[in-house]
Amino acid sequence: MNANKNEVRLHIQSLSKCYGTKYALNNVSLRANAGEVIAVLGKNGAGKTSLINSILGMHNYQAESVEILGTTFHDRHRPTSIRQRIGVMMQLGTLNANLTVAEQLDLFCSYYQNGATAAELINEFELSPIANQRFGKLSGGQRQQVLFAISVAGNPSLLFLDEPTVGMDVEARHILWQQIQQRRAQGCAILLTTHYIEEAQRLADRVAILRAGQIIAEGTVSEIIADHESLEAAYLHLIQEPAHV
Amino acid sequence: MFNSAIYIKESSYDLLSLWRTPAFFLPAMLFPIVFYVFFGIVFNFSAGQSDYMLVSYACFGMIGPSLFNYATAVASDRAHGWLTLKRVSPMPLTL
Repeated sequence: MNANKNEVRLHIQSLSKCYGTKYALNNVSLRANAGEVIAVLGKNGAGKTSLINSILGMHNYQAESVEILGTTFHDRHRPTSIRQRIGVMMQLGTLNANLTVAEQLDLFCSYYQNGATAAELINEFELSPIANQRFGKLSGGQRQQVLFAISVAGNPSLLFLDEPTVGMDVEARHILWQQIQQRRAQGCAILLTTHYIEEAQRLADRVAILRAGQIIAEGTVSEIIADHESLEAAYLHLIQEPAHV
Repeated sequence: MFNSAIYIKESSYDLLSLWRTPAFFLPAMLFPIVFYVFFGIVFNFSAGQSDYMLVSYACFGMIGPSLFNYATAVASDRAHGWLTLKRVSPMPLTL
């Protein structure tokens, strides 16, 4: 996948989402270029998953502009041509518990016209020891591995990872980080939400911190750290400050 | 052509998944057979009753799972996020 690093893959401006009278997202603007990892940090309920769901058109939202892979959207409908180029790993996602890993991969790969085959994914992600096990019998970390493999089945240009390493052991987490870095090197733009500061520090080109539906800080890791000791210290300081944008 | 291949694959894996679910498979297959054996063969008191019962329980076997299992399966898939993942995938919307 050859990509121009300045190619804008995702550009949202003033996106808001209300649940009743409560704003889950309030005027959120974000941009992701090819070959860039954007980490979105925030407390539980800060709006991270709502942000991904809004971009994916899973629910209604208000926005000045939502541009995905060069196409501007005025409603939540995302055509198949766009979904062919997007990969998604949902937060605590699951698959059919009665199908084996190989069967799940075969099914998902069939949705993509120019994607990988199940055999290629099994080989790339070293899933052969569990390929014939049913998804319902896998451990949490193994499930995350399979879900990640499915998210990249279509060789996506834009990848959404919603807390991808939850429940993973240290070794599995490092392997997944390497795979994310590999995708980035291939030019994939990645929007990553996480609670692990170390993960953001290691993977992200830019970090956005969400608090109560608003982005309170955005920049490179060093810009966010600024005068603080570490990204964690900066994060803890920023989310406790009085609201400002 | 592309979509029809997905339909076939989706249907075959759905059936395979149901086949591997004893809670679905046993009632769906056993109940009609047991009822037919009981009422159509063991308590067969008149000519033609067996044929009539065979057709009746064949219909019962087909309608039963679609009435009582379909909605449960959809609700379960939805609750576990399986449908959400499919919605964001390029799976044809007609599936």
